Amino acid sequence: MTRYLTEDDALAAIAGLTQARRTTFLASRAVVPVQSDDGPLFCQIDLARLRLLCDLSNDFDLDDPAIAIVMSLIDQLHGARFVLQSLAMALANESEAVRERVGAALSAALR
Amino acid sequence: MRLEPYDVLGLSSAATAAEIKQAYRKLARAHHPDLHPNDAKAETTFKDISAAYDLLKDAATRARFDAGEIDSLGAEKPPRQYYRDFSDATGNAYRPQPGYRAGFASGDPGDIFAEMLRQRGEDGQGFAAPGRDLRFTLNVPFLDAARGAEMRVTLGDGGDVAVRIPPGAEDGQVLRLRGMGRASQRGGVSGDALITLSLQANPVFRRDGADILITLPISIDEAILGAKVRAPTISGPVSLTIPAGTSSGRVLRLRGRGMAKAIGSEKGDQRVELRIVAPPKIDAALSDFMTNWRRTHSHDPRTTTLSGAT
Repeated sequence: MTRYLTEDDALAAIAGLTQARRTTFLASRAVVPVQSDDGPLFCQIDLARLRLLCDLSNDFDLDDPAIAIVMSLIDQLHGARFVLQSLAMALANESEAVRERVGAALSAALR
Repeated sequence: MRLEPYDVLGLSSAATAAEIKQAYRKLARAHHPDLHPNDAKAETTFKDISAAYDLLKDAATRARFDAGEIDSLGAEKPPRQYYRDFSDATGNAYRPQPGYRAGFASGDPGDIFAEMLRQRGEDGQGFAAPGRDLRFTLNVPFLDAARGAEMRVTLGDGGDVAVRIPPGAEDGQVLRLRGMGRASQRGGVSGDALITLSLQANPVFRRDGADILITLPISIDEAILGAKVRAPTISGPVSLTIPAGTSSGRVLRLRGRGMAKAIGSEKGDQRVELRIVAPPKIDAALSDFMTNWRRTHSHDPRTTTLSGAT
């Protein structure tokens, strides 16, 4: 069961998240909460992203364009990781011979 | 056992607030779990770094810590969940959604990679982006283009490659040498070398499609009496029969002596336009004969030309 937080709860839960910052992050769609009749609802993944966004802007002093670049790269990185992981899982179901052959080819390519 | 916050940040207790922030930022960049999703130890390290920074970044808390009123555990916070912990969750809405889901649906790993490569290529920034194509212009002598030839081309970086000019190659035609372009940055396929042919003119031969055109000078006697003469073709001289009573401008066709056609195995023709050339010196014999001949056989070849022009 996913737990959702209202906007106010989210603000309270994350140190360093100001109203202004939250508005910016929502406008740039760096965080996309679920829209409900009572306003946006934030789930755990949204909160984790908001914390990361706060780290980037508060602690690393990144401005909004830089944050957009970093977030885009992080998302691409996770996208690529997801593909690799899916590939690894698909290979895990293959026969020993196939896995060995792919493994050898991979080692050769990475050398 | 927790480390001393100053040690964690690599500072002395005399560090200024700016130094603390700088040290934290440097360490956090290197250890923030969300910036290093593959580093399993990043979380522990970053927890220590941020705990130390939390304690020292606020002047008041730092003063209390320095005075021994609170210990380093005072800054302990409930464990934080990082974005990377969720990134692999099913239905992560923040995961980029390019087209390769279609590849997964088909279940063929080849499709997945082809799709990934295609997308990287389009982005022009991915690890497997193909190398760029390189363009060159090659001056080709007329006969080499007509007959086909092998020429050597010096590519940008000093590499020297053989290029096969196909028979009947045309001006502006582009030959593609696969993989001879710039190498890919990271293991993708190399680009191609694109070679634009620039055909040089020839003083004897001209082209019209697959046909070769030449103008062949003949003498007055050859035109009147007929003759067997030698005519050049792109594949060497051949014997050509001039019929008796030939006028300038008459075109003789040498079948199959042209160039290979683009489609099929047929060849074009060579069309030979005859041009009567007066002898370099008109001697008395010729002059006398012509004078007599005019007196008795005069004819006007311009009658139709003149009437058609009015």
